[in-house]
Amino acid sequence: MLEGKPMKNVAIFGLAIVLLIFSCSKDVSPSSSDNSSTGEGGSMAAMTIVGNYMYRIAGGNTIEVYDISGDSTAKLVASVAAGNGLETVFPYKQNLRIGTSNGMLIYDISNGANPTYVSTYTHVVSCDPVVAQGNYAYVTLRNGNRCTRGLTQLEVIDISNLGNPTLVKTVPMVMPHGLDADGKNLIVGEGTYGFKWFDISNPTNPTEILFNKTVPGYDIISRGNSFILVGDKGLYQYEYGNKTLNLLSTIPVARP
Amino acid sequence: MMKIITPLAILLLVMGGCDNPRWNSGFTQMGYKPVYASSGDLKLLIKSSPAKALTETGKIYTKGNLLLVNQPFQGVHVIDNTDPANPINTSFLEIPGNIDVSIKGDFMYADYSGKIVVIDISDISHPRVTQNVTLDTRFQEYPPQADLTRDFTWRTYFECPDPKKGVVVGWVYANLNSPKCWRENQ
Repeated sequence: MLEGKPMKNVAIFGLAIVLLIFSCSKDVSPSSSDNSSTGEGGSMAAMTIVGNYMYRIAGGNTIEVYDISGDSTAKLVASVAAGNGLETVFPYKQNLRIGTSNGMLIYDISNGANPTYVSTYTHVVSCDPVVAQGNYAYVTLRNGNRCTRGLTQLEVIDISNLGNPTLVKTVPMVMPHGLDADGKNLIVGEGTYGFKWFDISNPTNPTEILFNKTVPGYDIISRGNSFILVGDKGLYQYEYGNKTLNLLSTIPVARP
Repeated sequence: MMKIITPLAILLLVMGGCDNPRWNSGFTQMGYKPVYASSGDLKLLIKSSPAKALTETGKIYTKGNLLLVNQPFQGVHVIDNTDPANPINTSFLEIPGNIDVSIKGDFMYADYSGKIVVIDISDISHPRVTQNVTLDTRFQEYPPQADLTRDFTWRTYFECPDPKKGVVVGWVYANLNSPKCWRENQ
């Protein structure tokens, strides 16, 4: 009670120290901001970290689980046979979404070391990365390669009931590769054909805002008001505008 | 007269038959070329090199202001993305055979020839291998199965490795001159 003022001084002093410490920590080389956090890959990624485990698609048919609680080591603790044609892995809440050559698999990882099969969303044979947001997963199916029976489209899948993913919408595409959903924005790479920007304010009805046909899109990471896109011509970063994209920067590919 | 023309015609035919440019030296084909090193010890091969131009792009990965762009089977371009309007290509982290990376805290988990190598990147300009792996012998013989970085082909051409040139530590996608080796994909 009587120490009101000194306590306040101590608090201010403490705050000053904290501010001083933070203002002194200057990054000399690009580094990640905090020590336990994980980074973010694009939808083409074949490995991902959730908590103390790293999940990796190996040999197209196995989900490998590595215990990385020791940080400096990655110990293989499980190899889960999950069928053929596995390509990409995307974490969402307590699940892994696995893009396969004929759809999407969902594995529960509430027990991190032991992914358990939940369900399969199967369509025709195609190639498909997958991302998820809220109750919906967005999957691109691509034709024109080994997935010769496939379709070339974007599919919106209702995953509110994980045990029974259901198709709610199909959008025709040209040659879709990676994609990323972020808030009301969905960017889909169209390989060498460019990339598309969709409005997903209504998540079940992606509405095309624009189709950039000059910048090839292969893998995408969207982050708030901007996104990073990589493709045959290089690395591009854009800021979302009102129906237009503002090119922030380019690191072009130099052909040898 | 016929006695001369017939052998001449046959000779011409035979010569024409030989003139198949595909099997003469000089046909070019995109495929994989081995990258050689004097040692197969990954600990010595994983290192930071000066920044180089992006020549072929793979997957991307971000953490904080760090942005990594994979150069398939070679490593990652390290980009300081503090200002997305002015990303700075700072260095190249050489990881032979690499396609995918992920990061937690100060550690990078990178695939290498089907295995996982762990690298302390608390100072990414001085990477330190904390979990090493040994070279896969198959890697010495043919390139890894093509991944999602390019469209699938049924046949992947590559330059036949020559053990006299050293240990194969990586494969680069390049224009090959009359490659004599290939693998069938499925």
